[in-house]
Amino acid sequence: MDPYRDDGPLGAVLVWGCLTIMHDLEPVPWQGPEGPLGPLGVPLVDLLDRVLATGVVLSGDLVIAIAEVPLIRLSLHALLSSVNERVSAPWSDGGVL
Amino acid sequence: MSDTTLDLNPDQLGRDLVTLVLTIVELLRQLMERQAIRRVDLGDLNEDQMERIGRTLMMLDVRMTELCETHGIRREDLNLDLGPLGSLLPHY
Repeated sequence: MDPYRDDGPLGAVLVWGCLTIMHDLEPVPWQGPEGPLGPLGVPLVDLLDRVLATGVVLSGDLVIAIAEVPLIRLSLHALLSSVNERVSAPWSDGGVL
Repeated sequence: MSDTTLDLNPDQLGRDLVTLVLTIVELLRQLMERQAIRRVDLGDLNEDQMERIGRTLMMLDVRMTELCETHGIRREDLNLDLGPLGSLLPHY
């Protein structure tokens, strides 16, 4: 089994989270009175905060090949999330901190 | 095609670089602040932890103001216009 395939619950939660964010807010004009607002009408830091609260799984595969011969592979599978009851801190004593 | 020379003013360049660095630091500070508030709202922290978090966040805020003063930057200048993505931080 390929350890890097995971279409599990966290991926589903991410999609649900995005749909929720899009669903709650009305489309706002690109340029607000105080400056650029963007399609969501909130600063990006608030979006990042909500994404962290929902949790994200980032995965990527990179293969470097010469003459179509694969030589180097880099695979990444990362979890980025708030620490909450669903996602706990990996070390019970808080690790080095 | 227009003139492609860059007109660099050394003083402004230095200040803009510091502004960018401090903007990233401010992004992290605000993100941590929001995350800490979420955690406090979840209610799974004890009194001691909440007090320490509160005090630390306050000290970070004070420190940010000091850093901005040291480099002659206004706190409101710490922001990035990301075009279609809007602004990075809230406008104050």
